[in-house]
Order: sequence, then C-alpha cells, then structure tokens
Amino acid sequence: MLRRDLFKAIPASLFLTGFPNLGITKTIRDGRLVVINLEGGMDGLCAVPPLGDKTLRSARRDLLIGGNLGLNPFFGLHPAFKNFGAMLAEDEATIIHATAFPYTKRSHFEGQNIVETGMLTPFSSKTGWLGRAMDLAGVAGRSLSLDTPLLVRGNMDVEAYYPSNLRGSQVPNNEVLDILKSIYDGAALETTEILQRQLASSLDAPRLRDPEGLAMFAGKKMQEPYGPKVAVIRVREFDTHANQGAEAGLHSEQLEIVDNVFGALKSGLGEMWSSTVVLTVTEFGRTIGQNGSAGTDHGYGSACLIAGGLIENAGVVSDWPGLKLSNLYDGRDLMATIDMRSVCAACLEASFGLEHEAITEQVFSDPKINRIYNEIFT
Amino acid sequence: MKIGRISRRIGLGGTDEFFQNGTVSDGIDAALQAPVKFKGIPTIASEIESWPSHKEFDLDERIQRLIKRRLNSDSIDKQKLSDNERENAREKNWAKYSVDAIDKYRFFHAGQFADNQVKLRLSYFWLNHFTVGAKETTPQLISDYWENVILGGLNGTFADLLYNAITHPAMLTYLDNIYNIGPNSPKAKGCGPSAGQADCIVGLNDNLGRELLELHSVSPSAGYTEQDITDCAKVLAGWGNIFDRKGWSETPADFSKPWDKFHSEPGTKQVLGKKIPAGKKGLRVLTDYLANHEHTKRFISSKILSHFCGVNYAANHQQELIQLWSSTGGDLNKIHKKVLKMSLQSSERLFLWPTTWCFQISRLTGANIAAGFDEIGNDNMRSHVVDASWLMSEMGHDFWSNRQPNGFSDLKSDWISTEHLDRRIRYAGLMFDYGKPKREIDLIIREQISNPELKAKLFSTNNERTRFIATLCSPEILEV
Repeated sequence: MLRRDLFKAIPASLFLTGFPNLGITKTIRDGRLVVINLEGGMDGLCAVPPLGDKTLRSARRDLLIGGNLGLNPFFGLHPAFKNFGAMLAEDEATIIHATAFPYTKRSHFEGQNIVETGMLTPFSSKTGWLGRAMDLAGVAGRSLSLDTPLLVRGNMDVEAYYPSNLRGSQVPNNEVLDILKSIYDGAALETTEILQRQLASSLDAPRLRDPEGLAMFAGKKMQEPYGPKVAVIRVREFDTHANQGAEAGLHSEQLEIVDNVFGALKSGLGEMWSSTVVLTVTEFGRTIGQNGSAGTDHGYGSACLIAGGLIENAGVVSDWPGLKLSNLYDGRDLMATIDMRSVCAACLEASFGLEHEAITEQVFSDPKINRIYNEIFT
Repeated sequence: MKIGRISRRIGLGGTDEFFQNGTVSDGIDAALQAPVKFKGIPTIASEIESWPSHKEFDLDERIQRLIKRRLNSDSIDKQKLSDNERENAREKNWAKYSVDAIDKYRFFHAGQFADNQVKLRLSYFWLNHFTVGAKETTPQLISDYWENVILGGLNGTFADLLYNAITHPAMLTYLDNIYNIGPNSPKAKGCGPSAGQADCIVGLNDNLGRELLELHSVSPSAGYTEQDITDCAKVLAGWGNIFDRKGWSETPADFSKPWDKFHSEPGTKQVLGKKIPAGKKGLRVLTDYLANHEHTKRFISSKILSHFCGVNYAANHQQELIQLWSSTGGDLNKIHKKVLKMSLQSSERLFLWPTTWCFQISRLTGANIAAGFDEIGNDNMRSHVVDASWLMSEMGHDFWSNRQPNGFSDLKSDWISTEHLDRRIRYAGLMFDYGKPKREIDLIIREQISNPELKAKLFSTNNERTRFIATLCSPEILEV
C-alpha cells in the first residue's frame, strides 16, 4: 500500500503554491518517452531531502542543503531544480521516493546493468528494458551518446547522436556508405543503413554536445511527426564519495545539469510535451550518513524524478520507510519500498499505451511487478 | 594465420620486425623480453626518431609541478587582477606546469611509431583493467602510472602489478583513497567534539576498497560482504596524499608509495577470512592474498582471454591459464606468452578498440595526422585536427578521459553505433586527405584482406578515397 496521500504535495512555499489537479484521465497513446540515466548513484536524499525526518540532520551535517524548495511539510526539493520545481507547480512532475531497482549489492557495474536490462540478475540479458518495450510498441528511438546504450538495445531502429567534432573531416558520403553496406552484415549493416538515413535528414543539426544542447535537439526531433519517440540521455559523475558539497559542490552541479535537461526537453518538445514522460533512473542511492571525506558511499534506495504533460498528479509518491537505524537497509541505506520497475512500467504504459501485464511479462519477465500507474497518471 | 594478421591480432599491426628471427613463438618471446623504445616524429611527415628526453617526466617532477601549480594558483587568486587578467594568469600557470598534453602525444606516437607493439598492446589491456581516469590531479600522473606500473610490470607477477597499481598516486587519487582516513587513526583521535575539534570529521572512504575486490581482483563471484569491503578500506586508510593541497601532516618519503601512519587504521583487519596486520605492510599482505585467490585467477583469466581470444574463448584455455597461474605464482610473462599463443590458435575474430584500430591503420598505411612532438600546442593553424588528445577523445577511447573504473568494454556490441561508425569513416577520411599514406591501398587489400568476395567488392569502386576508407572500415580490419 502506498502512503501517497500522506505525502501528496502540499504547497509549503509561494513557489510551489497550489498544484491544480486537472482531474482528466488522458488516453494519449502516441506518447514520447525520455530516460535520463544518472550514472554513479544519485543521492536521492540530497535531491529530495526528507526534511521532516530528524535523523537526516544528524547523519549529514556537512551535506545539508539550505534553501530547499518546500514540497510539503516533510519533503523538500534541492534548490538546483528550478525547471523541475516549476513543472511540479504546474502539475507536470512527480517524484517517487525510496525507490530502487531490486539490487542491493552496491556495485556500480552490476547495478547499472540491472538498471538497463531490467532483469533481476546482472549481465543476464543482452537487451534493455526500454529496447524490448520499444520493440513491443513498434517505436523507434534515439540515444544521445557516442554509443548505443544497453537500455535501448533489443530494438534495431535506434540512432545514436553525438555529433562529430573531428575538424576537417568530411561527412560520410553515400558512395562510402553504399560499399560498406555491401560488405557488412548483421548489426553493422543495420547501423550503416540507419547512419545513412540519419545523415540524409540531420545535416543541418546543431553541433551541440553538452547535455542541455543534446536534450534540446532531442526534443525538437521528437516533436516531428515522424521523429523518434524515445530518447536516452546520460548524466554522469554522481559517484560522490568525496567532497559531495552542499548548495555548491559536485552533486549540486550535477543536479543543475539534470534540471537543465528537463528544461531543455520541455522547450525542445514544444506542444509535444503534453504527450511526453521524462524519468530519471540511477543504479542506487547513497548512504544515509556522510563518510569521512564529506561524501557518501554506495547505498540502496534513491529518488526518481518524473516530468511531462502526461502526468496527472504532481507531488511525492512514497511509502516512506524512515531513516532510523532499525528502518535502514543493512543499517546504513535508505530502504527501497517501491520497485523502480513498477515506475518504469507505469511510464511505458502512459507513453506507449502498452498493457501492464504485457510490460511485466514481455519487458521485465516478472508478472509480479505492481501496477502504480494510477498513482502518477490518473 | 598470415604474419600481417598475427601482427594485428596480438600487436598494433603493420610491422613484423619481431617475427624476423625464427618462429612466431620466438618472436613473441623476444617481444615480451624487450623493452619498449618510445619513438615519435618531430613534425608531421618527418622521419621517426627516439622520443626526446626533455619531454619525459619522472614522478617526482610531476608532483613538484602539481605543487607549484597549486601554489601559483592560490597566489593568483589573492592578487588584485581584473577577471580577464586573472583568467589569463590561470591559463598560463596551468600550461606552464601541466604535462598531460605532452603525455598524450607520447602515448599516441608510441602506438604508431614505437617498435614493441606486443608489449604496448598488453599494456592497454592492463591499463584498462586497472583503470585510472581523469579526476583532480590524475591527468598529470596517468602517464607515469602507465609506463612505470603497467608497462614496467608486464614482466613481473600479478601480485606485484596489483600492489603497485593500487598504491600509485594516480589510483589513490582516482578512487578517492586520498580521503580515506581510519576512524581510529591518530588523525581521527584529534577530531570531533570530544577532542575539541567539532568541525573536523574524518572516516573511511570505501571507493578503492570496493573496486579492489570487485574490479581488480576476486570479482563479486567471491561473495565478499560489506564487512569485507569496510575492512579493505581500513587496510587502505593512510595510503595516498593530496599533493597539490596542504591536506596531510607531512610530505611522504616516497612519492610512489605514499603512506602515512597518522591517517592509518590501527589493529588487525579481516578480508575474506584472511587476517591482515596493521601498518604499511598490511596492504601488501592483502594484495598478495587477493592476487593468488582462486576467484582472481578465474576472473582475470576470463578477462584476458576475452580480450585476446574473443568472448567465446575455449573453456579449456581458461583452465590451462588458471593452472599456469597457480604453478608459476602468477608470472605474467608466462601468462602473457600463453594467452598470445592461444589467441593465434583461436578462430574467433577480435573487435578492435578504436585507438588500437587508429594505430593499426596508421602502421598499415604509413599515414599520420597527429602533430609531431615539436609541434605540440601549435595546431591552431591547421585545417584539420592534429591534437592527439582530441583524436582519442573523438574516437570515444581516451585513456585520460573521465570514465567509470570498470574501463572500456571488450564487447563488440558496446562499440557498434551510428556515431562510432561515423567516427571511423571520418577518421579514415582524414588519414587519406591529410595523412599522406605511404603505401598503396590496393597493396594493403591484397595483403590484409583474405575473403575473396570482400576483396572483389573493395576493388569494385574506382574512387581511391572510397576504396581507402571502405578497406580500413571493412570487417577484416575492424575485426582481426
């Protein structure tokens, strides 16, 4: 049972006053989905601090953030989230707290693999949950990186986008691509075919490679009638073992990048924003207590930020486990009480119109995953 | 297997000097015993020379430069300057004391021009296994780490390599061990409210301890616990020094092995059941134990076989390697020799990392687009990229980049994307347009391409540039 009502957004500051609930059940199924992968383990307790939990203050005295935006009497929002905060105020965003993929061993690389494959065992699948869902829904995608993330593998119609800056180099021409197509097979052949199509339509693309620039470009492409419906953006460097910082510092800088990505996506998507879901994923949260170097170590539960016009209920969705020692996972980490696969399934249901049962069985291979769609999208 | 393919499969391709005296096996033996002679070119299109000694830096000089760079930076910040003046002063200070730009050229030139390509190729594997990426002061230290720990350790034991990698300042900085302080250390006892130092908080940072177990030695298959990780961190407390800040009690006696009792954790620790004594020697006891652990042998055998024989390596090869490891105490020379010979027996094709491919096509064609060592920093007058650092970064395979400690993937699927293909085509195009190839592409097709159908298709185009690019991006050159 989710104690959503307990923590449903209650305006506690002028900035977030009065989240109107439109009360309309949207039935859009031609939606757009963007996944922002926060690599390194995002500190959910810093991004969305449970200010009403007194244990937080004693556990993190060097890492406490001043000037949080008040979401309700219990939760705050990191001040870097200006765009996301505005989306919350406009009833276009929600937060799932104390959530994680079902993985507790605290390894980045196993954890990231589980985030991308959606499987229970690391390295047990060569395709990603998003790629399998795209295949199920018959949609194409675009990853904003040099490589093709595991997350979207399983769907063969995926473009990577990270424009070259090899000064003096020439765009691959059709003659070269044609001969490569004649000598390649398998994934290399399909990649060459997609590159050829991509070059034919993207020669006027901006040469932006910062996360915000890529997000803006993705948004613009995704609003085109035949543009990609899925995008994946990576934001790295959340592994803040040392000098994590408070209002200023590495973690806050990374959160500001994430916020700018949300803002750039909304701007780029234009009217298509109303049919979009954007969510963050990360391999784990971080320890409740700070370590000896003013940082935090690998943990378990974290927070997930979701935004987009398909959202109906702004606020915080959480079955808050508490930060007292007896409530922690292994006596050190925020317990995860909501399975992130449920969150991903709800976002797939909202954006692709897939049935929950189809998602759990064919995408995550686990029919026991709870449906929390109504907590976010109705 | 043809000599050309052997050279590309276990080396960097294009030269065969190490196979000239006897059998392939003799050639491998000779290469493994010989040192790497660093070479480069002073200017683009000039003749290959020995790398100049004034562009080499030992660890002591690197660290002294870090200290001076920091002191000058602090001084600049205190001066009354305009924003522009301050920015210019900072840039000049940075350029004066930083050496990583030169290091990257040395690395790139070595891949193209040095003569012991087998050892270089092995060093890339181990540099990736013990990944150190860009973080704080590490760019200044990575080259020393590569040359003295990785390349210098290829003829020793895995136990030596593990210990030397873990204790190098680059690794200690990259994985935050410079901030790892024992909770019962002398330093900690002087901290906290009870010591009248409420603002002083110290404690463990388990980043290196965790990766020592997960990535560098036994791997998660060993089933270690969180307590094992914590005890690893305790063993590691005291190792490291913040060279460019006044963060520690004293200057270490040995920059290459910086340990300070003041920050170390007293008492015996226990990792995977092994008791580890207190003090500086404790870490060596731990790394020796881990280096010869059965899970380490299995994990690293699998990893090195995947790299040199392909991910579908023969199961009996892994078993043979584990037995060799056990019987020789992890003698890397013998392990490397065995793996390279297994590689030549394997029919599975190996997908080449981007920079390995860059080096190979340079050696095959004689083309080069990287500036010479006398031209470093003078690239802004050219119409195309000549900066070695930029080239590696653009190819998505830069050992100085900011990346995760599990390093670059060996899986072909991780390197197949539209953008990676785009980069390879562009790079090959740059080599043709500006690199002044010394060898005819038709000759390279005849020598290097074995599939007659592929050969015919490459010869089917009359456009030499297209033929050049398609050949270098063909399956037999990308995968060897």
